[in-house]
Amino acid sequence: MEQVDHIPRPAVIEDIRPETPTEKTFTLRFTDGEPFNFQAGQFCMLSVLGKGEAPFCIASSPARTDAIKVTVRRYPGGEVTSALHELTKGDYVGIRGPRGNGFPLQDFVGRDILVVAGGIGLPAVQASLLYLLDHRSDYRNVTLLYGARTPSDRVYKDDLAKWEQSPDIVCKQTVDMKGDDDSWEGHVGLITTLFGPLEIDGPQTTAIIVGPAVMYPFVVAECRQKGIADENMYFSLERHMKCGVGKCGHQMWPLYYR
Amino acid sequence: MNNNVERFVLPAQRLAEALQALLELPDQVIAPVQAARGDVHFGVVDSADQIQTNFGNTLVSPIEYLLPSQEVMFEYRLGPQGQPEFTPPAPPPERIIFGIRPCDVAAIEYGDHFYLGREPADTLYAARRQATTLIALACAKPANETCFCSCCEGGGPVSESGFDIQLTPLGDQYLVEVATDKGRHVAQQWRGLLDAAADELLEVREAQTREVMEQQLETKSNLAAAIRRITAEKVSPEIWESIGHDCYSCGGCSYLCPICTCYDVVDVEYDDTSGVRIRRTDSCRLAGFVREATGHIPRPTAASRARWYAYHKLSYDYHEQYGRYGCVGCGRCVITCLGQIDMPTVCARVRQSETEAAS
Repeated sequence: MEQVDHIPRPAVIEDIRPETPTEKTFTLRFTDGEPFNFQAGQFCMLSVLGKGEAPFCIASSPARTDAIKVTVRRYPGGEVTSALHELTKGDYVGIRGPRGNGFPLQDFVGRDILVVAGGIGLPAVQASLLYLLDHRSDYRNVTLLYGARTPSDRVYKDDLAKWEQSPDIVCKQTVDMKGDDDSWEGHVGLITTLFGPLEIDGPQTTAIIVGPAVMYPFVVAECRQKGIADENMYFSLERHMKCGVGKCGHQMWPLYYR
Repeated sequence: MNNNVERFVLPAQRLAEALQALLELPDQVIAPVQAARGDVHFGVVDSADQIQTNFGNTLVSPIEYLLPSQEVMFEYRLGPQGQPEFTPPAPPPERIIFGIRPCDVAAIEYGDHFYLGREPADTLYAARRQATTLIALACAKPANETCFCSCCEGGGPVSESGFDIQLTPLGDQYLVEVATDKGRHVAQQWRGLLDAAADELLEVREAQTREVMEQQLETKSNLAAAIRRITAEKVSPEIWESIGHDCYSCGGCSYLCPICTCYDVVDVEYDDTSGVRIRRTDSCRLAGFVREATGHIPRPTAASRARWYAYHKLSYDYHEQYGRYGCVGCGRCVITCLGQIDMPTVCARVRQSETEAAS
């Protein structure tokens, strides 16, 4: 039987990339020489030793197994996120995992894939997007809808710009408001406003949806409107899990531990 | 009833010898002992005359020795470049726990299912469980006035499974049931003390058990009604509001509940380069239980948490996933709750609201 890994694996910070004023992407390389195999959509438990441990989505391609990337938003009340943001290149962290179910992308082969990400939900689907693009010929249309609060709140701006030009993926972005960025020429409006003009082959489409809880009912309604069946919608539902394995009780959604 | 159980009798006046023999076996014997001011609690024993056999159940369940309210998960030390080295906790001692009441035996069975029966298995629990022999002490009468074990499925003053050895007091003798290899190892030590058990003893015990169970019928039907209402989500928000109003959000019920498993994980620094990660019991009755880094608290009111707690313990959906309801009837919540919203009272209030709705 599979056993809980209470003890983390050491990893060194190889790179830190600021995404927004409050978000940074960390590249973490394992120093024990063992590969870290994971499925797109899984998360890891990340430790800053002495400060604590918290779950973060793995936001890099599953093809790379010597290192992973995580994108972390800093919250003043978040001990681990604050401690992480203080770290510099060469500092060490601990990693347990991978954990969680991931998205079963192999099951979606031959279908259209619609990825809907709101805010800090994009890192949670980033590994899936990279996997889909790596295995592009296995899938039909791949579409990403991404909504952020303001233009400067967007993460992975380079990837988004690249994907907007790419023939491999339909990438649509929107912001709730322009904020102080007058140079934004893209769409303004809630993420649901991206659905209207979209041509989707509903029955052929599987949707992967990650965002704040408030986003889900509205996006689900739009997906249903487009003819996507409920059983073809996949979500990430999150609470602040303490154990990473579905036993500490903090991550429970009514009745299910994982 | 387990067919592989071997049955013997132990004369009550020879119990002291049997307990003395336990002390020669493992690294540690844990048993009910009396504290300075008279309370009985489970503790490490070094002489048999410390062991209490006539006690109301202890406030803290002996499951504490399998699931400590606080335990070290590992120690860490940071090297010159900051690279961490980890040291796991020392292996647990070989232990016999003597005197476990049937409600706590049921809780340990649930612990086995929760920590070992569902992947991934918990290594810390597994190591302790493996090293522990359980000797149950069945109840000839309810251990406390607050007991309601027989209201809970499969529960009652005598365990049907989950123990290595069970002693049931029957007048001037004990019925000794040996159920496992661990139990047989202990029984070897008791060879000179045990006699063969006559079949009639089981009937005597059944009569004794029935008498206890008949005293708890009212609570039993309250529990059944509450399970039905909660599963159907037919409890009005006003009921949770009123229960929430009486809740101090102290967490006492779940800290003492032997079947509550939730825990928190925190790091404690010894200094800049070393420290320890611990896990400790947590309670969903506290507002901070589900607090997120953003400060958002998904269950912000005592009422919402009371509902969550009751739903988790009493919904049939929970039963389906975990194999039993989340209550063993030990009555510890009744003893500790300042707001008198313990399990039997909540069930009575939920049932009463049903009666009112129907009339």
